Parts: sequence; structure tokens; C-alpha cells
Amino acid sequence: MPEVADSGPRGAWFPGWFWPSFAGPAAIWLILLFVVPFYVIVAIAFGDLDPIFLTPTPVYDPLKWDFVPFRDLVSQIFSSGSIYQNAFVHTLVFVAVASLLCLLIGYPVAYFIARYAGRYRTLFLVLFIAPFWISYMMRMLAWINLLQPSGYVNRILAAIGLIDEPIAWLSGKPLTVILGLTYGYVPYMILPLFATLDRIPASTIEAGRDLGAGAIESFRRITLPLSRQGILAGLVIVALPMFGDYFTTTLLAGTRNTAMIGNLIQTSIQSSLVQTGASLVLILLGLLIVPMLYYLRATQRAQELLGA
Amino acid sequence: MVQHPKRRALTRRDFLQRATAAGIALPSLAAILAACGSNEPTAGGGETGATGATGLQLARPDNPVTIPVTDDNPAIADGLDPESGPLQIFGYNDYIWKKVLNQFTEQYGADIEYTVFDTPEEMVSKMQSQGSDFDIVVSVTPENVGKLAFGGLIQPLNKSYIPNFDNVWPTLQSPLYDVDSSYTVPYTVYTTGIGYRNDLVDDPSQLDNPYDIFWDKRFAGQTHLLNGARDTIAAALLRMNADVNTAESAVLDQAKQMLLEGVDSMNWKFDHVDYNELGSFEVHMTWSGQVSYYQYYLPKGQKITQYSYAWPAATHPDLQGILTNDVFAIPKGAKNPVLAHAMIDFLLEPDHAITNYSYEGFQPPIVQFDNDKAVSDGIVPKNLANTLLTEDDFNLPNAVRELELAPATNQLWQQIYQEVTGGV
Repeated sequence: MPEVADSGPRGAWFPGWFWPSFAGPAAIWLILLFVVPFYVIVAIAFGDLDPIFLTPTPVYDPLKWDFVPFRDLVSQIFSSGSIYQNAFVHTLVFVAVASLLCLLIGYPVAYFIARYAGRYRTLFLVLFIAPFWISYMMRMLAWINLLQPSGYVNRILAAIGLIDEPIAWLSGKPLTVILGLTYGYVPYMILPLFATLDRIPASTIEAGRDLGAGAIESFRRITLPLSRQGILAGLVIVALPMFGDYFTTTLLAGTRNTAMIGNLIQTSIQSSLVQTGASLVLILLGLLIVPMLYYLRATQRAQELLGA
Repeated sequence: MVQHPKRRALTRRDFLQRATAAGIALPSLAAILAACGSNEPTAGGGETGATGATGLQLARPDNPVTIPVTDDNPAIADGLDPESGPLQIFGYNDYIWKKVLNQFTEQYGADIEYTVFDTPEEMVSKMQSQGSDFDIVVSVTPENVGKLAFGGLIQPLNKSYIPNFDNVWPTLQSPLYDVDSSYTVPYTVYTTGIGYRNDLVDDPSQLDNPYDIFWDKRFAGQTHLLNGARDTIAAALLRMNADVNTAESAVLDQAKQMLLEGVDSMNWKFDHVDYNELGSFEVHMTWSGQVSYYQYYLPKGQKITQYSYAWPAATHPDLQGILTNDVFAIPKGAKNPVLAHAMIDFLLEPDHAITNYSYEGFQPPIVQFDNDKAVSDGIVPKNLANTLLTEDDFNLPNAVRELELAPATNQLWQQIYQEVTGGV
């Protein structure tokens, strides 16, 4: 008897492969646009070099792969003071702080829109994510102008008496990079947080208040735990692209002491060190798989609890 | 059956333990990979003469290179008509004035499409993968001519299509990197020197070693170096008065240490867009051509008289100074080679060359170019007259060029550059 899938409306019969086949286009998309390019990166990282041009020659047969350049790179990452180690440390610190700032800024905004915006909710949502409408590059270029020694930021700070001399914001300050990353990615934090907070029934919070919980305790014991998935989603959405960001630090700092992994990848690929760039991509991917798996696991657990 | 919430497949403790184990295992993974690796060098070669089986020859003052013309890559025949185009130009952004390109279109009836590259490395990479998509490459530097020619990426020129070649400075008609100009023709000439705010910085030419200015802590945070491995490392080599084409690891190591000390104390930025950053630096390692168009990018309240340029080789006979030229080349397999030759000839015609220069700022090496007239016509501000070169500058004993490096040496330079800049 052939395997039968669920019957559709009006008792229609579908073969067993019918519903799973809907995943086909997505699978093909994933294979063509992720798996294949990823394999090319692996083939470059473990491949060969043209003897004259030093451009990479991908080697697709795993039996012929050369792991020496990758090994050397990993050794350098674990060598104290190496640019690779410094770049990884910078990246981890910048991403952690910027992600936290995105959360601290984005959460109140999302909370306000979800709970208090009322009939103006859509308008506020549109306004707060309006920066999406402008390309990331243009937004960072605008900040270069604002952060110049004679720019408006210094002028305002001087006018309110916070500084006596202009601050050289663009001369390689980690703080500038962190603020730039935060500014660039905070809209990505607001949306998933809003979606989660909006789904929390008002009756749940009212029930807590009825049982004697104050505003802060209600937030701490009801709203915050229920918004955990949104927080995780938001952190993943902002942190993952930050790990590969090179543009922000190039424009707003452009010095060695703020270099991130993305900068090393970018300059490697633009020079004759393409193998190094490909290897860095693989290492970065390995680094990001761990939190990504945690997020997937946490999401699965949350869905199981909801189902239960 | 639904699992009890407390019976989790992966607790937080499990997760942290496994992540820590992965972190500890990574160095072990490196050791395992070492056992699987090959120790054969991927590139190598000597510093003069042929480089192994590749045949790449490294041009040096005592070893000028004649690039052979082979049967499988001949020049185009004489007497062909120009194609209809469009002419595909591959070059730095805005390196030929649009007005001049329009004049070419008007004369030859062929449209022009311009593709941009940002670095010499990007240019070489794209030439390898899609060189025949382009008809002419502008702004190839001498250190890349050898690999493009010996690597079979550019074709020999037929000078019967370039009668204006006779306008080129005689010194550059048979350069040491391409004797008889078989494959390339010069486009612009420039020096690498020191741009500075003369109202904030004393003339570096007055120093015993003007290159010390890049390490002067008084200008920390206000000093930029040129980006790119060759130029950044050259800053240290020039300060050391060492060979700017060196392959000696001891010398390069010393240059690296000097640059690493400077990076920490000076907080350098690395770029070649000084004309776009006026007001945010006091000292900038730069090319002479860049300085001459500062006047078009001045911030409000600044005057061009506040900027000066110093080329140490002109004032210090005991110190080296870099001067060089960009060249035209025609990719092998170009679809419009006759039109490409016509473009080269067009840009060597004095009116077009000077018109182009009035916008570009990078000087054409043609005999009809009058330095004094360029200043008196206001194209070059008087205080920046020293950005102009003469043919005799190429014969100065302390004027040096950045020339081709062996592949392994080039790799070493790139690694040093990445270590110094940290990737930015």
C-alpha cells in the first residue's frame, strides 16, 4: 500500500512525497547559494597557489588538500600578541558590548511600541526602523561627518560644557567603533523584540499585578522571561553580522588597534593572502556555530514547552 | 511522548562544558592537521633573473628586462581599422577625465565603458579571471608588468597605431621593466613624498631625515601613511635608506619592527584618499599627483596655501625617494585592440594629455608638457610647484622605483603589511 500523506481538504489524497517536496526549492537554494560556495571556500583554504600571481587555485579533491597554511594560521591565532589574536579579541569585545547596547536601547523601544503605542504602534514602528531605508554605508558615511573634530557631536558636547577640546572620535577609538556598530544594528534588535513582546497577552501581566506583583516585579518575573526568545533572536540577528563587519571599523577608526576579523578577511582577499582569508572564514564559522546551535536548541526547547 | 521539561537533552552546564572542550581541542586540531599537511613550498624564486619554471624575470637597474614576444601572443597586424566598440577600460576610479573620454567617443564614434579596481592586487586577480573582457588597462604599475606579461595576460603593442609614442619622455621610451616598451606605454609620472599642513608642521625637508616626520609623536593621531604593502613598508625602508625592493628578511624584519613601533605610538591611518580628508590630518605620506588636486577639495575656511609637499630625494642627495609611472597595457584577447591602441595614442596627444592632467593631477610624461606653464596657468598652485617632475628626475642617482618582487618575497611583504595594519 503506498505511503499516504495527510489527506487534504475535502479528503483529497496526496502521495507521501508531496508535502516534503515543498522544501525542495529551499533545499536547492541552500545547496546552490550556501553549500556549493562554502565548499569553494574550503577548497581555496586547503588548495594551492598560482606560482606567479599567488592567486588561489581551489583543490576540490579532499585527498589532495594541504592543511599547512591553515595550521599556521591557527598557531598564530593562539600566539600572544599576534594580529590574528588581537583581531579576534577586538571582535569578541566589540560585538559583545555593541550587542548588549543594542539590547539595552532596543528593548525599551520595542516595549514601548508593543505595550503603550496604542493606535500609533505602526507609525512608531515605521519611524524607529526608518534607518533601514538608507544603506548601511550611507549611514556610516554620515557619522564620519558628524564625528569630525569640527563636527556637530563635538560642537554639542562643547556647548553643554562636557568637553573643552574637540575629541578625535575618528582616530582609532574602540568606543567609536562600538557606537557605530550599535547604531548600525539596533533596528535589527527592535523588530524581533517587538514581535515577542507584542505576543505576550496583557491578561498574563494583569494576572501578576492582581496577585500583588509591582511593576518592576511584573517585568522581572513575567515579561522578561517571556521575552527571552525575542532577546535571543535579536542578539543572534545583530551579533552574527557584526562578527563579519569590517566596514564600520574601516570608516570610523581605520587603525590597527580596532581591527576586527572582517578587516583581516577583507584585506587578505584583496591581496595575495586569499588562502588566509578563506581560512579565517572557516575559523569564524566554527566560532559562530556554537552560539548558533545554542540558539537553535533554546528555540526548540521553548517550542516543546509551548507544545506541552 | 513529550519529554518532561527537566529532562533536557542539553543543559546549560553541558553546553558550557562542551564549548570549553571545543576551545581546548582547537589547538589539538591544529596539531592533527600538521600531521596531514605538506611541507612543499608553494612559491619561490631568486631575486634577479629568471624565477624558476615560470620564466618571470625581475627587472632591476643592473638587469633591464626585455619581455619576449611569442608566436602564441603576437601583436595585432598593421593597417587595421578601429573597431566599433564599446571600448572597455579597466582602471582606478576616475583616472581618466570623463571629458577626455567623451572627446575620444566623439572622434572615434565608440562608446566607453569603465570598470574600476581599487588595488593592484584586485587588478591582477580580475585580469586573471576576466582579462579578455577588457580592452585596455590603465594604471598598471611597473611592479606588476612582469607578472602580467610573463603570465600571458597582456599582449604586445603595435606602435604603428601609436605615433604619439614619440611624445613620451625619451627616458621612459625604453624603461628597464619593459625594454623597447614592447608591452606597455607610460601614462603618468609621480613621486611618493610627504604632504603636510605648513601652518601646523615645520618643513620636513629641514630635518636630517625627512622621513622621521612619519614617526614624530607630536603628530600622533594626525599622520596617515599610504596603504598597500609596497608603499607602507617603503615608508620604513626609506627612513632606513634601505632598498625599497629588498627581499632580505633581516631588513624587512627591521622595517616591520619600525612600523610596529610607529603603529603603537603614532596611531597611523592607512589610505590614499588624502584629498578627501583635508582637515583631518597634518602629515600624509602621499603621491605628488594627489596633492595637486587638494585645491578642489578644501574644507570651508582652508586655503591651498596651507598645504605643502616635500620629496626628500630632491633636497637630500644622500636619501632615496620613490618616483614611478603608471602604464597602459592591452589585455590578451581584447575584443577591441585597435581601438585600445587608438585610446593610448589619443591620451599621448599633448592637448588631450594636458586637458586630462588639469583634472587628474597626475602628470603625463610628454615632452610638450611645460611645468612652468602649468603653474602660471593656475593648474598647479605655486606653493605646490614641486609636485611636478622633470625627465631629469628619473636620472637622479637617489631616485628609486618600486619594481617587481619574486612571488615568495611578495607574499612576505603582504604578510608584514597585514601584521602592521591589522587588516585596516
